[in-house]
Amino acid sequence: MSGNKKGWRPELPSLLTVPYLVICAFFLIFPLTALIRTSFQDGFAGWIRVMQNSTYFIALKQSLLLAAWTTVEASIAGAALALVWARRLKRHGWFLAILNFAAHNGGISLAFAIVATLGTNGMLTILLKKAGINLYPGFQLSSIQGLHWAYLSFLIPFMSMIFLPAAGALRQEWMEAASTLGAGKFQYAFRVAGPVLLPAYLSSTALVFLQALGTYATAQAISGDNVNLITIQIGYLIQQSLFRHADANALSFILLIIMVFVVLIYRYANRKAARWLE
Amino acid sequence: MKHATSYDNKSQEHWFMWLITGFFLIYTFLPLIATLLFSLARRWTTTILPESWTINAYVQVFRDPAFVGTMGRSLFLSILASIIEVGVVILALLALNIGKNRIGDWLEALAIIPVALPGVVLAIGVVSFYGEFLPVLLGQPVLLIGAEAAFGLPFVYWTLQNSFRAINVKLLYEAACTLRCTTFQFLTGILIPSLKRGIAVAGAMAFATAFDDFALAQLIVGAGWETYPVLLNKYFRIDGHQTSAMSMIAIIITFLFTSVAGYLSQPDQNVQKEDDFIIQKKASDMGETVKA
Repeated sequence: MSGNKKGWRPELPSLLTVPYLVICAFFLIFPLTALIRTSFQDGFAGWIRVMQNSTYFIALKQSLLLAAWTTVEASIAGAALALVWARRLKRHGWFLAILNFAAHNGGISLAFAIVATLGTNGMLTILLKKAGINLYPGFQLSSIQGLHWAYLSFLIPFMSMIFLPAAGALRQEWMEAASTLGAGKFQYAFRVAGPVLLPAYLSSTALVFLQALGTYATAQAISGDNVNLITIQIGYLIQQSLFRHADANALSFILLIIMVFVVLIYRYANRKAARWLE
Repeated sequence: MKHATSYDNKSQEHWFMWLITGFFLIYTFLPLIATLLFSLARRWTTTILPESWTINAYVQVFRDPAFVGTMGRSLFLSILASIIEVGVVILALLALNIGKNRIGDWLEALAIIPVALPGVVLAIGVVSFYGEFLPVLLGQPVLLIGAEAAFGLPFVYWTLQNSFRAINVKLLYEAACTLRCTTFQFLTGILIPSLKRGIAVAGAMAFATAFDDFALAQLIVGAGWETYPVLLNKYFRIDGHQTSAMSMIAIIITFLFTSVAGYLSQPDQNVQKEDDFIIQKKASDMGETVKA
């Protein structure tokens, strides 16, 4: 009996991972392999066709531009927000609640909220008009510039959320130690806090970039397919007809390569950051 | 003198903090207020606040049979996806903690994929794969439920991993084994109760992610099994009034789940430490009893 049990126990742990692996296999790995395989179906012909198509090329360029622009702004604002709140969270749980909500409030409903705020008859548009500032016709919500405001509303809190652990790891004693040794505020910032936070800042920024590049729902609802972004192109192609699937596959693969590259940066920075977080 | 400067720095810091926090709060809530006012406005063109009010938009929403259908589907989808996610992750992490640690890196690498993966790319992958091997499943909700479950894994994995770190699972499990608990008894009687906070946070986030998702729903099943965001998108350019009320409902649901999850995940070290201590003590007590 007990011999029986001993033979059975060691296998149990691996069995427990089966449901997890099944979900990952059938809904991540197999689909991705199928995607990569089909994008090479007719050799590199599909690739060349896609890269020569100026619409797709502009889509890729604009997506990267929008992602880079919003990432720079969101990472600075988000990190600042995390730094001022990192020590206060214990007594102010409400802030974390709002932060988490804002970071995850995306999709179609956010798109509508942004239109209701910054659209031609939006609340902020009217407020500004009363104050003597006319947004329109110079401003357009259905543009890279307009989408940028929508993206920031979830990217800033998202950056804050993921940067908070690092910001919290900054110890009060380090600042005191530095000032005992005669360091000024700037010296502390550049030689102590900066180097400690930089890896975590980079890894968080990489995640923000990924989030910005992959955004689809908000962008397509606000622009109504009018702004040429790579995710909007892919979504459009899938819904059009089966014949366009090859293009969608090739575009997805390009996006995937960029993603892998950014994930590698993330992992590298994250490993460096882990030194201070444990 | 020294006191004066430190006080000065403090108030300066405070001033900066409230400036950027205020900016953030306005950025977050102004669009929501605009949506709420829009949904309650009868006439609103050039004034700051609506000229007259009505709740017609909400009446219209609740009378719309499509609302009931899509809301039902979305709730079903999100609840099922979050149960699947939390379930498979708990089992996998249990395996990781009581077994050899070789698989850990693999499980973690798999959990990173959805972070980097845009919904549209996963959607087209799912459509390509099942279109080739199991075309009967195309457009079926099971594909969407599976994809949502996979897509939400990272947050669930990381949240629960942190909860696992806070308790010594191996010790608990060994004690339970010696006391002849079955693995099922161990799961329901010891592990799940000691992880309840982590499970609540992970489950709420998984629910909110699946509920809000548009890319996977639109591209994998689309009109065949319309979810709430897909309907919302359809109405977006047809009826602004009804869309505003529907957006408000979606925002409130998202707010409930994400804010509770955010609140529960605050670093509440005192409570947690105590819990750990009690749990570890219980485990070591158990161990000692057995030894004796």
